[in-house]
Amino acid sequence: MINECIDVSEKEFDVVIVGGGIAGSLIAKQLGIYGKKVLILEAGESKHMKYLDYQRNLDLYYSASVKSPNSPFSSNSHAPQPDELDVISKIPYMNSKGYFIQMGPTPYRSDYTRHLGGATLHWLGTCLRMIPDDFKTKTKFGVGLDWPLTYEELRPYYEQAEYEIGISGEVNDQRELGQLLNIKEEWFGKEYVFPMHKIPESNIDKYLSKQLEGKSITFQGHQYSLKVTSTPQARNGIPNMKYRYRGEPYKPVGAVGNDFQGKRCVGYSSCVPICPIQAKYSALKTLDSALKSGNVTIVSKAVVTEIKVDGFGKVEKVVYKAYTSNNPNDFSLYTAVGKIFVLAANPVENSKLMLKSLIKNDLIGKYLMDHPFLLTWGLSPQLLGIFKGPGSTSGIESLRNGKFREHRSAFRIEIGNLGWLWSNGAPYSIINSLVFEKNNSGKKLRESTYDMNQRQIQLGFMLEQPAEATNRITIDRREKDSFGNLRPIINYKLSEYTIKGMEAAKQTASTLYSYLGAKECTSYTDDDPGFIQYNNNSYAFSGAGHFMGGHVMGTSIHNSVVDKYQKVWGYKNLFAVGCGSLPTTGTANPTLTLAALALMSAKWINNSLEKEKITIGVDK
Amino acid sequence: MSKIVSLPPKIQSIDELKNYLNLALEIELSTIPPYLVSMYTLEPDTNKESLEIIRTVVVEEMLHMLLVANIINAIGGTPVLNNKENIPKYPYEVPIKTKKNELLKINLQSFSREAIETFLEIEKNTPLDEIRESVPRDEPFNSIAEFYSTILDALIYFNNHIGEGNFFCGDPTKQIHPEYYYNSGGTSIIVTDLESAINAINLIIDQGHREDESSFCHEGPSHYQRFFEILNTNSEDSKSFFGDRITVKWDKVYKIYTNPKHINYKNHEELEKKSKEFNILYSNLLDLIHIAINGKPEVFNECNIIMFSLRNKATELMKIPLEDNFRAAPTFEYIEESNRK
Amino acid sequence: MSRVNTYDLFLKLSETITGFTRVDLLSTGLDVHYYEFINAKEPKTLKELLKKYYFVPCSDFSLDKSYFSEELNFLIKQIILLWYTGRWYINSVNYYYLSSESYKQGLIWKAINAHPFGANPTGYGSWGKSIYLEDINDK
Ligand SMILES: Cc1cc2nc3c(=O)[nH]c(=O)nc-3n(C[C@H](O)[C@H](O)[C@H](O)COP(=O)(O)OP(=O)(O)OC[C@H]3O[C@@H](n4cnc5c(N)ncnc54)[C@H](O)[C@@H]3O)c2cc1C
Ligand code: SF4
Repeated sequence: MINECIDVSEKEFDVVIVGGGIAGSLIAKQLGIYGKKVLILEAGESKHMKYLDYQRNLDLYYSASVKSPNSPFSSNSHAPQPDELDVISKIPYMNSKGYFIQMGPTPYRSDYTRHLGGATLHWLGTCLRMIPDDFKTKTKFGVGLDWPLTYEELRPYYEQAEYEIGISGEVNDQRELGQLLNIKEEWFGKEYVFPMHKIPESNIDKYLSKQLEGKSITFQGHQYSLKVTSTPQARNGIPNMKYRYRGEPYKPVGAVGNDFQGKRCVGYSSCVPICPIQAKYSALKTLDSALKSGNVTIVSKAVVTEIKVDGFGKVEKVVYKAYTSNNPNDFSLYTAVGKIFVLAANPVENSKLMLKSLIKNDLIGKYLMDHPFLLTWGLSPQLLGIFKGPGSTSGIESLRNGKFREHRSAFRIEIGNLGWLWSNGAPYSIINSLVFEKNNSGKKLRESTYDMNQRQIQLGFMLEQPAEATNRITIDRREKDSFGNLRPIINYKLSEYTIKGMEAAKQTASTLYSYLGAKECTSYTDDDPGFIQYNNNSYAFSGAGHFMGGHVMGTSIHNSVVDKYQKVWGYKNLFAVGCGSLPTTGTANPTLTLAALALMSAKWINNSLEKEKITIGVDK
Repeated sequence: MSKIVSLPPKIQSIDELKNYLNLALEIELSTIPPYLVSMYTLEPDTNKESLEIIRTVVVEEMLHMLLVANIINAIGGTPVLNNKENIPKYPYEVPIKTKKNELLKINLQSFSREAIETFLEIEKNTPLDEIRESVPRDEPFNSIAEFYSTILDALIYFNNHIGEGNFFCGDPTKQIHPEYYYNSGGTSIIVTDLESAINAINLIIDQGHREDESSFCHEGPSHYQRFFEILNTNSEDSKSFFGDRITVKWDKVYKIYTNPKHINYKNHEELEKKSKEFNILYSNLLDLIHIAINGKPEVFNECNIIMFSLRNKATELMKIPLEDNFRAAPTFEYIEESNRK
Repeated sequence: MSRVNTYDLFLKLSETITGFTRVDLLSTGLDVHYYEFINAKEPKTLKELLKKYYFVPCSDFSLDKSYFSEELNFLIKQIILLWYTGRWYINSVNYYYLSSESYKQGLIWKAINAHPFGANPTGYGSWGKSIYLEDINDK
């Protein structure tokens, strides 16, 4: 059942979940299936669970002059959200005019969406598994933090997550990559296949793959292959008849509210920020099936503002602000009670809530991370047949692991299918300069427009970022917006380790463009908010949208906020889930791992409800 | 289901059955251009619900074509789609009777009450107890549903008569299976025996022609019910497709000449070129589907891509003004291979 | 010049400056809308432009040559970009979309053999078939 802004204080739930993004919805669905009574409190709107209302967001996208990730999902004063476009400068206070207060020294450039479904509404859907070494970077490379669990423990949940999200991919391509990355563990189970066949590779994927065949690059005397690998992704393709989940073949899940749409990607190319037909996964799909269990209640327009704890480390209830209109005074405060409470509001909001509620742990909000993203671009001698299909269908993944991680960040390289869209606003930027600067018109204009757009190569380097305590989310009770919302305060800086990774990334880019016979066109100007100079070279990074850290997991209350089941240390019935729990970023887009962890937590929560294990607790 | 053991008078031999199945293929195909044209005449950003409803029907009609092809292949026949004779020309006459006791005529025409009423005729069912056990040889069918149930009877008859192994003797590699055709209109069914053939036909009848909720398996309103909702937006009898009442704006529609012909564009050089491009692509598509259902199912991936390209070309045509506020429209005329360049 | 005439001239001019045919322009469905929009925004400049355009031999047309005043040249650029992008440029940097439809009908997508992001999808796998029609014809 979905309700807007109602009072649920009379009811008692087994589990109260704060936030209806992918983390919250996966847990709700599992527990709903297990027969537990679940409440999801969602800060944002829920009307896009109806097919035609979802379509209305599309109109916002069409008419938005800048088609940024949040362009279809308008900001809501009762549940404000950061926007990429808030960051306009290198000067921190200039970037603090939106929701975040940016303390710098470098800007945090990612955003998220506070509507039901969360950031998966506008994500790209790349779903790589982390590699086993990512779970032990401290031990193995002397950098960052170790996880309190191993890859092997998480593997079955990765498989479950790939089912729940619905991944299209070719497992043999991943296996081959595993060898290049020197993975000794069993990365993918022997018989395993993905639910759906891989999304066909794009023209540019094939072109790069051919040009780079057998090519490699050397770092510190070691050779690394430059192999192009198809990307497993959360987008519907053709079901793999070999696939079985609990004995059943895979059935693609269509659009919420319209089973006749979205069972296969047809190439709208607007995955970020909105898939018109919902061929791309969003948490709305999981919520829809969670509701079908009959045990899940969603209350939207309900912003949780505080967690109330008794004197014995047990959460009694959460307080939420239920609003009806866009008027600052138009709200009521209600409470929700349950046996277990799960914070699934994303790293920033989870941290904010715990800080505000005086949850005891010095590490809350610390170790904020992202995957700093370095865009590079070049012009190919060849026409490429681009500007079609999903944003990206392959990557160069063979540089994600190596001894170099002792000294610098690893990275993956995302091959773009949409030309220089993200690096400089193509195809519009091209025609703009042809007309305004070059005075082109007529046939000549048309031909140059074609030629200059169809040769564009864009390679995005997604860099690992190790946890550092000084990168953090804090609050200040005096810093509220006009609606009384506390504003997250962000301190953020890239360490030399990551910047050295950027240096290697840029070198790799130049090597790649020269193998491709392409003219490298990358140039970073110092008016870019992400501009950095290092060893006399210039770089400019952007955000990947991958908020991580803030309540990292570890082996004790002294080194972490949550345990491996994402239960908050020192509290009997409080969980904080999502990418906030990740101790390392690795070089995999984080949501699949988030999903695996959430599924593991769901199982644990269910077991503890069954056994009333929660009263014992597992704190050391 | 094995109620019938006698031979329906309409179908006296396996060859005749194969012909009827090819006619079924033709009828399924004949519905698609009219549905598409009515959809394309909706002005941009209006009547979104109706557009979506018609679109969902089209997707399922395509599935029905494949199911019919699978049945033909299963009994060793040859589905034909690349022959001028088997490609519908408009107005297209379907061998079934309308309420007015005339043969049903399908037109390429603008979205209108009249068009939707025709669509209802296409999709209407005959209640099971009214389906004639045997449609006389020289009489038309009462509904497409009745047409299919005659085919079903013949399938059962020949199966029982000559034995499943002898009857379902087709090459199984010609089957379009779900890996080749999986879309939002449901999954294709591999036909290898009587049971799967019955399932395929039931799926067609159920998705298309169900008027009540009694029948099995398929979720959501049938085509009949979906079109009914467009005509009767506020009626209690309407099954709601989207869960909410829909609105229909009959005036937010481009006017086109009914059953447009390419030849009428001959004074208009650029338009003629665009229209020809469309027809060539349409003809290519039919040829490719023909190839796909005759042993190369993997070719379906290409067909899929062409369908999108066709759509884009058609919507461009629809925007081109002719005299008196009329618009150009795709004419869906098959061009023989030798005349395509 | 009567309304019909100026509209017709506007289309002719548009053909020349965009490199698209009349039918291409018409198939956006926005020709009248664009004409009326510009006519309402810049009535005098448009009139002057069309008058002047009437006397310029088509083959000679270029933005480099100084047939047109700076003001007329700028309007030409605005018109080109309106057709190509559906945006009205206030200056070379700032713009807005006339409507969602104008975004979708931008001719730039046709010029680069693609489709507007979020509309007119090209079908599963089409992104891996650069010249897919030729491929198929060979089969
Ligand atoms: C442009 C972009 C592209 C991306 N691409 C990828 C990708 O390709 N692959 C990948 O792995 N990841 C990608 N990501 C990241 C991915 O979207 C996130 O990691 C993921 O969606 C996080 O899910 P979540 O459920 O933890 O949080 P969210 O999605 O942020 O959901 C949190 C939910 O909680 C609600 N909420 C917040 N505060 C409160 C409160 N106080 N009370 C009640 N409810 C609250 C929010 O409204 C929201 O619905 C991308 C992100 C962006 C921005
Ligand atoms: S390419 Fe298009 S259809 Fe496919 S997932 Fe992206 S937006 Fe959706």
